[in-house]
Amino acid sequence: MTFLVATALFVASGTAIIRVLRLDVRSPLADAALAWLVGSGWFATIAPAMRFGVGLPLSAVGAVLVTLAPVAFWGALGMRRRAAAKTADGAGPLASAPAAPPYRLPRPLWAYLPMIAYVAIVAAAVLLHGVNTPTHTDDGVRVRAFAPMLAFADEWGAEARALFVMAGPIPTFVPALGWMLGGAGDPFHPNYAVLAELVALLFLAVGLPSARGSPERGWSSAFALLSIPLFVYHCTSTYSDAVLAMRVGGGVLLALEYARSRDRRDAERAFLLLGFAALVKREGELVAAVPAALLAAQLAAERLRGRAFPWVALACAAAPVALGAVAKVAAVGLAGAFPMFRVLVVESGLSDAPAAAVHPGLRMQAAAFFFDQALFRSGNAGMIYWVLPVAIVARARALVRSGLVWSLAAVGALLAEVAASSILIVPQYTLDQSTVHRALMVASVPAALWIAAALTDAAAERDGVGERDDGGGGSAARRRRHREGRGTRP
Amino acid sequence: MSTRRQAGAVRSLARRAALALAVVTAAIPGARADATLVPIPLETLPGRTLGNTPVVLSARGLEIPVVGDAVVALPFPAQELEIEAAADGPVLLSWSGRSGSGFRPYGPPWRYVAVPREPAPLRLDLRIAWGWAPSARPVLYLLGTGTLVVRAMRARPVPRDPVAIAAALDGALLWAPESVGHTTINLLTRSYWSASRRTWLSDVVAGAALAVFLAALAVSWLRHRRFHPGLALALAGLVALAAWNAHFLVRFLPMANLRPQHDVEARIRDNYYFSPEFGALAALARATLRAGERVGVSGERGDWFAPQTLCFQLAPRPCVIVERGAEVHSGISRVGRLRSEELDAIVSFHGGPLPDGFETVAAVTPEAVVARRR
Repeated sequence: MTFLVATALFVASGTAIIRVLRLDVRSPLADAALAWLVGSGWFATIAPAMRFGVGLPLSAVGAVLVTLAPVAFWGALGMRRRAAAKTADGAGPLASAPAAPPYRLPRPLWAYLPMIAYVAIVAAAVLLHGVNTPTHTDDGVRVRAFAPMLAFADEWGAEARALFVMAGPIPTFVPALGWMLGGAGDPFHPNYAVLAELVALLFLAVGLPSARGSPERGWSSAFALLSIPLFVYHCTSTYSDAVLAMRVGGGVLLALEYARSRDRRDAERAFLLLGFAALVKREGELVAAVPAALLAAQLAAERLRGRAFPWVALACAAAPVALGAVAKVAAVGLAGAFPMFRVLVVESGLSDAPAAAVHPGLRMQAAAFFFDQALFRSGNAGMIYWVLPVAIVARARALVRSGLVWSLAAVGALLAEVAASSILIVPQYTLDQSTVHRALMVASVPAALWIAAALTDAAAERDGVGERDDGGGGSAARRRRHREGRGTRP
Repeated sequence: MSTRRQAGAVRSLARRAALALAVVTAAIPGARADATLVPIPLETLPGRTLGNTPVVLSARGLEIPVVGDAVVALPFPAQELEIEAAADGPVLLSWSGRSGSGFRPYGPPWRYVAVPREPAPLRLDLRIAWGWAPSARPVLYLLGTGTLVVRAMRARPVPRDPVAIAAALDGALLWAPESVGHTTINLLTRSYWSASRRTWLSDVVAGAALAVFLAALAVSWLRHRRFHPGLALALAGLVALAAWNAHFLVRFLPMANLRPQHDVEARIRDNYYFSPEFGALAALARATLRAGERVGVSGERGDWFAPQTLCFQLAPRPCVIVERGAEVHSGISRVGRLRSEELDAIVSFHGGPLPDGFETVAAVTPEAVVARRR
């Protein structure tokens, strides 16, 4: 029950932030999803910065104040704008995105019904199994779900602080808010937090395209997302790998949306979600930096063609990363705050510390295993990595013309990052399969979303062909985009 | 030879003959087709099983005492077992095959079932467990505390025909449900189209999707005199994802706990799927210990699961993992320290004798107890 109250607070907080930043999409589903992702990210940004950076103990009242601060700011801003509007007799307060058209079912419905049924069944099963299953240990040596209990108890010895750095601010502080509100009687809050992330991503995946007149794309994305078996299983656990994958996936989803809509606010939303994604696990910064950098490169390329670069949005995305870094450094010192960077420095030979001696033969074996078993054969990633290269080859010409190529580059870079980690840095964990499959999820989830986008475009191609044959000149969707002055789709 | 010895020899011979007859009769061609499960006379088993625990025939049935763990290797090969069993305590029954040197009850895949308190039939498919082979002996690996009573046992024998053996193995593995274990978080069970030929399911699905792609291209050429690779790609991609998802759904749904349970304590008690004794202890300890009591958790040497998970379930009570012989103990990930004399309570899960000065105040079994300082 207290988790529901915490969820309502996060959603209220997130709604205020996206309204103030004018990043709402005026679609209840998508806005609720964005509000959860942003509101929980806000709390996980500010709470540890206050606790470790400023040294303020986090009480229930303090936590509620942190959560509701954006709501108060939004209210104050609204009153001020209303007053200004009265004096200037101007427009209403805080006008943001135009209202979305009503939802409609995907067409042809008979083709999408099995996909919708699959999404509904798997989502329901994951929710029930996830709610029912108590926490187990991680890796046989850790219980990361313990980190929020430390935030609740506000007991931060040296070992506890190391656990905070390991788990990251979002997995540490978000499940703790419910406990702060009502006491720690229900140890399932880490489960609920993971499941809330899944619900948010599904809402965003389905709601955003549906609100923009393309429910086909939305349901395809949800279907592809739940086509990664190990990811589906992870959502029923209290591990954070799925959370990181979903946060990064949310950012890539909005980057894909930007490729279609050319609406700068989609890029800004993507930046914001990727900024919060950096607050999950110790490798969050490294993983989220990849799609954020490629989105920035895309926008920089557009700047050469005359469009302004959204510096403010980039700063908004950088703020949680910076505050998260401040909290980590304040908690454990600079040397321990970024363990993954330290591993990279040691492995690259830039540090005097001895790197783990890895036999070249081991790396070769790991590489072979990675590309054969982890990607294609084991089934942990489903058929994602079979469909991805085929889609790239079959759609090569269309991709070059479309903005999807930037998102594809992000997926490729994420995959390369995981491959480098699995083959060069920790090949032993690839061969014993202790980390390789779940490490891949941060690439698999964006890849699944990209595949859904590419396949939906490919299916829509037939409409265009038919109309060309008839002397038409484009589908209704294309005509609508043309009227709106948006870009073309492949 | 005394009369008693002669009678014993005759009984032993009769048991062996009955066992051989049961297995041979079941293995004759045609028996497989009607999927008959052959009754195994329980009186043929005592003295012929291997393992670390005595198997005793009583009026109730075959009794197997379990304290901690118990291993029973049955003396005949089979592809499936059905046992009607009950246990008077929390006992987890895992099964695997034993051929050659050993067995791996934890797999992966780890196949297990919680033995019910009331007699009920339990179906153990040996083909989907680790180490099955036509000649492999079934191994029952029992964890918990209590006595397992087997009232009846039936076996599906291994067919003689190698083709039938391969078909039985392939069919069972293809549709075997996933089971939650310690390694499931790292990897799911591999999916073979044909395990006997080592043909991956992914290769077959990819082949089918390629066929759909080519067929869609051909149809578009026949109908419009031009290729529509986009639509063909969409169809093929959908076939690939949908086929895998359908297979995944068949394996995932039986594993998932789909029964809504509102009560948090009941979820903890009942849903540690592979350790019912542990779940019951965790729930009991939560109900017994007051907030603020300083707890030490004690487990078997080398048990990394139970002590840490117990401390998690008891949080935010100060909780440490008791190291035998140590004066100072630490908690999960070495967070928090307590000296032995600071402990108010001990929760022991197969942790051996309680430290001096503590007495049991609540117990699931004699090996899973909550104790307080006297």
